[in-house]
Amino acid sequence: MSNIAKLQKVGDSTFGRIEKINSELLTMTYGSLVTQLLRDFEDTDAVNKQLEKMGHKIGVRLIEEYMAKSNPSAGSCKEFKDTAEAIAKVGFKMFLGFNAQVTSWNQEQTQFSLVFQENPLNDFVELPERLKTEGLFYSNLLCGVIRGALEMVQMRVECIFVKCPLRGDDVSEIKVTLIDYLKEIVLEDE
Amino acid sequence: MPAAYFVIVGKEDCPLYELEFTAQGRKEDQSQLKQFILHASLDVVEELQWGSKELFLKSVDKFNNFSISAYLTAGYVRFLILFDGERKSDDSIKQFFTEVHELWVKIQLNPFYELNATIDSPSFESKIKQLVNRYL
Repeated sequence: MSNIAKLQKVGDSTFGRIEKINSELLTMTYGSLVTQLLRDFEDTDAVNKQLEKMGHKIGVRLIEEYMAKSNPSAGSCKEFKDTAEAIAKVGFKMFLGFNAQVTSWNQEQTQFSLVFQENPLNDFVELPERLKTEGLFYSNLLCGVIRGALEMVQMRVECIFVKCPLRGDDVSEIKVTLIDYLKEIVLEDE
Repeated sequence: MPAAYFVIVGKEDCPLYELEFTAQGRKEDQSQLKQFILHASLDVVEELQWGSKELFLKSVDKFNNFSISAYLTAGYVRFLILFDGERKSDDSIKQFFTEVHELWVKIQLNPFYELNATIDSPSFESKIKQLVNRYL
């Protein structure tokens, strides 16, 4: 438990140090991005995929920033459980300004859920009924970010949004499943 | 609650939202007449808008026992309310408009709302109804 408190402290202090932007700027930019994607692809599933892909590209870069700005020695991740808490308490705090809860571990400890109430990306947004039934996950970008970031530290994961307040749920929930640890492969000279 | 007709008119004079509420127990069928009067009052609003620094224009027009109050936003979207008979004090109308203005700004910030399109958000509707109950 103390580990979580420690991570929370790391998250808070890093958040204090990091440069900030106006949340409305972020919200509006993200909003116009999603609506433009919807216009271009005309297919909700494709938009979900595209958002995830974009997130992935963000994630593979963002991990570098995460490592540099948050002093990771304070909370190094020895097992997947630590990774989960580090994402929830440090990663989310650093880049989005709030903490997430880690819940619903499976027995093998390879799957957990990130649950959070607030989400600055959702501000002002109201999904039209059509998109709700077609299954748009507005903040699907976040899934990609987590997948991309973990990929850079040798973890292959699968991330899916399961709950989103824009679709009538009370909280946001992202399910993260560990698939395997990537091994560094040294190519032999021929 | 007095009988009234509330409407939001967009830039090109197209209606974006309308809500009619009637005094309890009275059945009325004058919607077209009311729309017509409101439409006519847009001209008066246009005349008055440069004469005042306030967004709230108080009572702008009267026709028989109908009276109309108006409110302008900076983007030239007009909120009009028509009272049939008894009308509320300017103060409570102003408060009503100011809060509607806030709701309107939020609607505009929604990326899925197209500018100058009719507002069909159910949450907006219910919030407007709450405001009507509180101030009118």
